[in-house]
Amino acid sequence: MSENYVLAKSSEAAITENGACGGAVSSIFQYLLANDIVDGVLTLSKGEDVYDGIPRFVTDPAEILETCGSLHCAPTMVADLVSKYLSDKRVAVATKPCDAKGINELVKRHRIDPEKIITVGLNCGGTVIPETAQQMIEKFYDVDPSKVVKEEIDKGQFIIELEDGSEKGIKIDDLEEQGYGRRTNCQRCNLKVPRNADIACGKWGSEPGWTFIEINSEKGQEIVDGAKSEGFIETKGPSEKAIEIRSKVEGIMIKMGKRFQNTQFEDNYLSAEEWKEQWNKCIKCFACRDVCPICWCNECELEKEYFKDSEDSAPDPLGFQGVRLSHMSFSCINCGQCEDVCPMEIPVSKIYHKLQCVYNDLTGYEAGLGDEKPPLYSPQKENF
Amino acid sequence: MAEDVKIVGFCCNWCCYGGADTAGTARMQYPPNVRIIRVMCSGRINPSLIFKAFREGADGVFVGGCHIGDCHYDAGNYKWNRRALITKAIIKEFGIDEERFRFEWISASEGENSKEQ
Amino acid sequence: MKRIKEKLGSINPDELCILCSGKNTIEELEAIKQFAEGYGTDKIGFYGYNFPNDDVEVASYDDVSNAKTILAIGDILRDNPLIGRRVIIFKENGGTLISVDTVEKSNTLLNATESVKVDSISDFISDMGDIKGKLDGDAVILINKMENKDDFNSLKELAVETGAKLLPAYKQANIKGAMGILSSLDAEEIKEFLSDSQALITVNADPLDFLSKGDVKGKFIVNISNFDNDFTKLSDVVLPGKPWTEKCGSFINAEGLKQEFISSVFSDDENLSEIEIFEKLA
Repeated sequence: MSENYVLAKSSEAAITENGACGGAVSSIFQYLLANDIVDGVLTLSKGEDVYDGIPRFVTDPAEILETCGSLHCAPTMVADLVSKYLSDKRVAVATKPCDAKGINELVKRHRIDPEKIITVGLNCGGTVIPETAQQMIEKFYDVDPSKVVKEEIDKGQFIIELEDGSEKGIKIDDLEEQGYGRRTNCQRCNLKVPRNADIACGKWGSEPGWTFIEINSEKGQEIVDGAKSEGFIETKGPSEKAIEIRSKVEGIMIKMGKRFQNTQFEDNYLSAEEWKEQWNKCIKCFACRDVCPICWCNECELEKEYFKDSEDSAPDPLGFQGVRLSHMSFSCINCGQCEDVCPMEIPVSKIYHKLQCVYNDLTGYEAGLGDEKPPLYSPQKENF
Repeated sequence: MAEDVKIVGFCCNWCCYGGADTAGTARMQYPPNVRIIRVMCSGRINPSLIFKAFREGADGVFVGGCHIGDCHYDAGNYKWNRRALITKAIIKEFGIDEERFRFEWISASEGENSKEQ
Repeated sequence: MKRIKEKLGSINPDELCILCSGKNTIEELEAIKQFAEGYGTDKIGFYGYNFPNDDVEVASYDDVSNAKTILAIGDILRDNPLIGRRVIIFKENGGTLISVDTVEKSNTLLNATESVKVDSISDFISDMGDIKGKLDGDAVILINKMENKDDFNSLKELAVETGAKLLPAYKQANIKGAMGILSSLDAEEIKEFLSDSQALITVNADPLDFLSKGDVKGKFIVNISNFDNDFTKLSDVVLPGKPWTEKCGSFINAEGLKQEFISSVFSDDENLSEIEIFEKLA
C-alpha cells in the first residue's frame, strides 16, 4: 500500500463538467494520447442510454470527452478485450478492480504484455445488471427508466438523476434485501480500491470537483507527474482527514463484502443436492467458458473426445464444470460474467469464486494480485 | 474391502509401480477390482484424469507418487501435490466423499505399504 | 450467374422450385417472392418443420415466466434456450413443468416436475389423458416438435377449450416472419414440387434435413449457403450469399415481435447478397 496520495482535477472546464468528480481520469487519458505514450485508450462510453455501455478504443484525444462519466449499470469486463483484440497495441485502459485483476492474471499467462499496458484504476462499489436496474427503478423509484440521465452509487445508496436535475436515492441494502441491487459477485467482492492498477482513482475522501488518486507504481507516478507538467491536470495534497475518510469508506465496503461472502458461501450456500439440480439445467452452450477472461486455450479440453458424452441431456458436471474448475478456478477473479451469460440461470460464478477462496486458504494465492504466478504454474519446491 | 468396489490406482513408475512390482515378485496379492495404471511420474496426473475415472464408474481413485525430494524428474511430485489439493476441494463440491480419493508418497522398497495403500 | 441464367432460360417457368427457410430475413423473402412471381413459378415456400402458416395469438415470453403450469412438448430447454430461460424463471417462481417427448432423455425431461415419454406427438395431442385437466387460464403450451401440420388445429382447439395459451417455439429465427410471406411446406409437399421440377434453388436451407438424397437427385441445384455439408456436395452451383453479420434486415421472433438488425462487420468481399443474386437473375 503506497503512501502516495494526490487530489487531481482536469484543467479543462468541459471535462470537469462531464467527468465524474473532477474528470482527472479523462484528462490523464488525453495526456497519454496527445503525447503518443499509448496508441489508444480502451474505455466505456454511453450508447443509447445509461444501461448501454459500449467499449471504445479511442485514438483521438478530442473524443475522450464523449466517454466521460461512470456507468454502473453496464458491467463490462475489459481484460480479455485487451488480450484478444489489442495485444499488439500500446493501450491505456480504465479498470475496475476486477478488470485490473483480469489483466494481472492474463499478464501472468503471457496473454498481455505488461510493457504495453497502462491501467488507470477506478474505485468500485459494485455494478448492476441493466435489466435489474431498469426493473428496480420502475418498481422502487417510480420513475420511467428511460428518463434517467445519470446514476451513481454513493454513501451506500443507488442514486438516479433525471433530466431536470432532480435526484432520488435508495439504500442499496434495502434494494438487495428485495433481490435487486448489485450483481451477486459484486456483493462478495473484496477489492474496492484497485491497488493492482498503476493508479487508483475515485471520489472517496475527495472534495467536490476533485479526484482522489492513489499512486501504486513507478509508471503511475510518471503518468501523474507528466499529466501535471503538460498542463492536463492540477494537483494538490489531500488532507489527513480526507485520507482517513477514504480509508474508513473502504473499510466499511470491505467488511460488507466479507459479510456477503459469508452469507453466500456458508449460510446460504447450496447443498450438494441443490448443486446437482442446478447442473441438471446445463445445456452445454459453453457461454461461461467463452466469456471467461481467464480461459483462453486454443484447444479446450472440454471439447476433447474423451470428455464427449451422449449429448442428449445435461452433461456430467464433474467432466464439464469440474474440469474447467480444475483449470482456472484458482485464478478466478470473480468478475461474474459466467453467471451473467448462463441462459439457464445457474449461479456459476459462485462455485468458481468459492474455490478460489478455498485455494487461497490452502496456499495463500489470491487471484489478480501481485507478481507471484498461480501455484499450479510455479516451478517452486515448497515445503508441504 | 468388498469385491465389487472398483478402485483405479495411478502409480508412478519409479516408486509406486516399483513397489507394486515388489509386491508382485513376493507374490503378495492385490485384489482384481483394483486397476493399476502406470505413469512415468505423478507429475503427469492432472485433475481431469481423476474426474474421468470417477465418471467412468470408479468408486475410489488412488494416486501414488515418490516421496518429496525423491522425484526421478526432480519436481514432478511437487506439481502433483498442488493439483491434488485442488482436486480434493473440487470433488467435495460435487458430492464425492473425500475418502474416495487418496494420494500417497511411496518408495520402491515399500512393497507391503504399496499393497496396503 | 451466367450458367444459372442459361439453365433457367432453358426450362419451363413452372419447372423451377425455390426453397427458402426461416434463416432468410423478411426483406430477402419478399424479394425472392417477387422474383418467383416475375419468373412465373408458384413452386415456392419454406420447410416449416410441420408447423402450418397460422397467425393465432400466441403467448408472450412474459406469459411463460408468469405461468403456473407449462406443458412443454419437445426439448425446449436445449433447443430453444431463449424461451428455455423463461421456463427456468417460471420454475423458480414455483411453476409446475410437464415435459412430454418422444425420447428417453432430454434436458427438459430432466428438469420437469412431471415427465412423460410418448411414442407419437400426434397421438399425444389428440389424447392427452389427465394432462388436459391440468391446463387452465394460467397455463402455457410450449411446443417445438410437430409430426403433422394438421395437429396444429387440435392444439388451437385445446387452447381455446382450456383457456391455456399456446406458443410454438421454432427451430429457425424467422419462421414466423416467413409464415407471413410464403407457404410453410411439409416434406410431402416439397417432394411433390420437386417431382415436377427440373431446377431447384435453395436459400440457406438444407433439404437433406427432411428429404433423402434420392428426392433431390437429377435436378439442377443452385445452393445459396455458406455452410459446407452433404447437400453442398450434391449441388451444381453453390453461392455463398452473405452471413447475418454482413447484412441488414428484420425478422419476427416466436412471440411476434419484429426486430431489426444492422450489419456489424463491413467486408469488401465481392460476393453478392441473397437479394442481389435474385435481382440479377430476374
